[in-house]
Amino acid sequence: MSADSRIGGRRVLIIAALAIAVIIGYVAAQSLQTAAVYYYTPTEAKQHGFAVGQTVRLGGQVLRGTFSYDQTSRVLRFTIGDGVTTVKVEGSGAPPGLLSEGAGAVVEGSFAVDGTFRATQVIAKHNEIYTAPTGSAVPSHQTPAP
Amino acid sequence: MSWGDIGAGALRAGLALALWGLGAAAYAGWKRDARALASARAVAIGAFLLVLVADLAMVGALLSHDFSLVYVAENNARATPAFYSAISLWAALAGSILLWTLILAGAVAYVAIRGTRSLPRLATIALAVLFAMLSFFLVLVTTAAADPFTRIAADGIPGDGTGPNPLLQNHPLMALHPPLLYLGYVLTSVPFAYAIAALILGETNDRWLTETRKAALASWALLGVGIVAGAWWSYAVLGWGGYWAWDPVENAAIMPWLTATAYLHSVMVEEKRRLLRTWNIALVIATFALTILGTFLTRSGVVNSVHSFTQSAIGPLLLGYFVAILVLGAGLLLYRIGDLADRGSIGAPLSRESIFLFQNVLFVAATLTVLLGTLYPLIAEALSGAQLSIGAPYFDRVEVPIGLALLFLMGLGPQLPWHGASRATLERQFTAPVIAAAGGALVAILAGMIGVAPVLTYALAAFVMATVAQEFARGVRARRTLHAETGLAAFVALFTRNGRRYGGYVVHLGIVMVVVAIATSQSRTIELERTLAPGDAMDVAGYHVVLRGLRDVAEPQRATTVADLSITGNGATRELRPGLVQYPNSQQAIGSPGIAAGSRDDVYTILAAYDVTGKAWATIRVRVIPLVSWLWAGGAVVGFGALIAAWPPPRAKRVAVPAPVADAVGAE
Repeated sequence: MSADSRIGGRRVLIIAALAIAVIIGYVAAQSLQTAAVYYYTPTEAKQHGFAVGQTVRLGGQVLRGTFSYDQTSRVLRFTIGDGVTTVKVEGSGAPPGLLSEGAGAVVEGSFAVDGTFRATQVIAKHNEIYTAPTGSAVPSHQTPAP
Repeated sequence: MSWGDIGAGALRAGLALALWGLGAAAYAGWKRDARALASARAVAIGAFLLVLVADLAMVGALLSHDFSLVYVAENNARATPAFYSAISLWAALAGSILLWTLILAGAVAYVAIRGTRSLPRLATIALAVLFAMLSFFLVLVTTAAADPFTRIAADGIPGDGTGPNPLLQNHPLMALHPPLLYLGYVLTSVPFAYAIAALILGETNDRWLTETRKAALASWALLGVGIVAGAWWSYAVLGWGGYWAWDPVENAAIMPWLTATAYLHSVMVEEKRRLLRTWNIALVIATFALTILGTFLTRSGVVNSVHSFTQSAIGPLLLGYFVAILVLGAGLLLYRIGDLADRGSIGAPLSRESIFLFQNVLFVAATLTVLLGTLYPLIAEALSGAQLSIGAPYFDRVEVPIGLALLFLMGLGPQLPWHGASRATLERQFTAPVIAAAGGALVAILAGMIGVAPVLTYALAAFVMATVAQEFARGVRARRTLHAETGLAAFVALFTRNGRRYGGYVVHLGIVMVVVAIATSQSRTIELERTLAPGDAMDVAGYHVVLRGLRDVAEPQRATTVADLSITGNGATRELRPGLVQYPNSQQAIGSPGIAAGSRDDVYTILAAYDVTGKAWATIRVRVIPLVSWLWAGGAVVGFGALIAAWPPPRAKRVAVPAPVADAVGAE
């Protein structure tokens, strides 16, 4: 292998490595934009006024006396609130084991035309760990880490 | 004397010894003083024994339900079974840090005994660095940051404790997964300490690297197996039927594993071609720093919630430790960078070294993008105040293509010669693998895989398997002609004579198993949820699931409602008992899935909801998850391959050979 071809080969390598880095950086930046799911409290969500069908996450507390699960149609209904605003949530499928009235919950989904929140995902928050969002608090996605 | 007195006393004495060891080792390295070195060695063993006593005292306190300790009162109850009491050593922060300290003390003792025999000055400085780390952790466990022996005032001692976190006392895998991870984390500190020592001494040769090869391999393998064990635990306990969610805790574990994988490969370029030396030191520093960053992110609560940051002093302390590691590592590296310049360069794009280079670029890119996704919520909140989360879609979109590219390189690299390949070489090496890849794609399409990524995964998996098979076939053939061995003897000899290379291929096969299991289980899982009355049945993917009934099971530490299910299908009948478990320290029940594991697929059943009043109905969720068992098996194969690679060759009884992995682990 001559010295000249080695230099040429090296240039190809550097360009290829840089190209890979740029492509990955671009894909990562793009994906961050589309994959970011924003958290809102019901009050913030009402103020913001989301388009029907736009994916958001709401964090709040399951209000007492609002929880229902129909075992035949498997429709799950409850209302979450943050002390100011309440939002009716509708989901399908059995509720996660930790979900109960008075407990915190994070729901991911979108608003329907009638203002109901159609949840695609319901995440229950353990009572002791979750604190209802108070303006600036992020609902903690608490994992049972060792 | 109580368990608390013994433990707290041992840790304080251990801290004193560690500080003494730090001074003695640093002095011994600086002045080449044999007496100081002997003292540092003795102190290392003493410190290890003291920390061992402290860990045993904590286990003793947990087993004897000594609720005068805050840790025991919060993580144990009288009804907790002895097994779960003992492993509650790592059920919460303070105990985990105590275990971490024990492993680190073991690493210090190991380097003190084995390392300082062969490379006195380098190892002595490395020992000083390790003593500094041990001192830091002993400060954590003897101050409010993470003191596991904090006592409750005599009049406030509860009659019973609250018990461990329900999710941590629900499955025996909890005994395996955290210690494996901590072993992996802590052992990364050995290559780091040697690299720092080499930089301090200005040694520009590769001795630090050969000396720590086994430790690097052991830490990498333990991290990998620990991650798979964690995925298995998540699958078997959390009841969601998945095993990986790109949660910050998981990301914290995978990031150092990614940089360590890059390092294990780029090290070969340094050994063979004396290239990439600065890069390798940077990878070692990055790997170790990432273990601390990950611990900081998950332990301080900074990622989950910004507001719990100041709850324990451990957050700022770990952050300071991380910054100190980065400043020390990067500063020394920049200081010595002139001495480390490579003589020569990587030339031909189609050579083994250039594949290693691309592989490294991809692994580092994977690490940085995982880091970006993990930290982005923090960055966004700091910049704009917006609160958001980055979910699996981001990680899937970015990491899956990188993973597929790496799978391709995994087949390419071992088949290419160093320095560059000729056209004839390419044809000889890749004809069979390319045909296999086409076959793999066909299998995927016939099996009904949909989407580019799963089909490509199968094709590339077949490509890699064919290259590995080709390597073994050629190795056996060469040995048979050269040594007149039988086929089996030649096959075994490949492992015993050239374990590093052929053990590496076994690791590659394990990775292929993991990757195929992930691709198949992610794209071909079938889920069905039905509400059934006792006697009713549902059919899912060829399985007939009958709900026999619901019943209550009472145990001292918990109350469980189980659904008795009969699963018939694919020639077998299995009884499964998914349940909802109620622990006294938790208001809500946690799910306990019933799993019928098989080599073809797992039937994963969850009792999602049931009629609390009359037990007249139950909502049962059934997931049929294909090939998921191969993920855990693949993890074991990776560990086994690493063990072969680390095993010393038979007749090579050099004085300076570091002990095999088993010793490195056993020393803790």
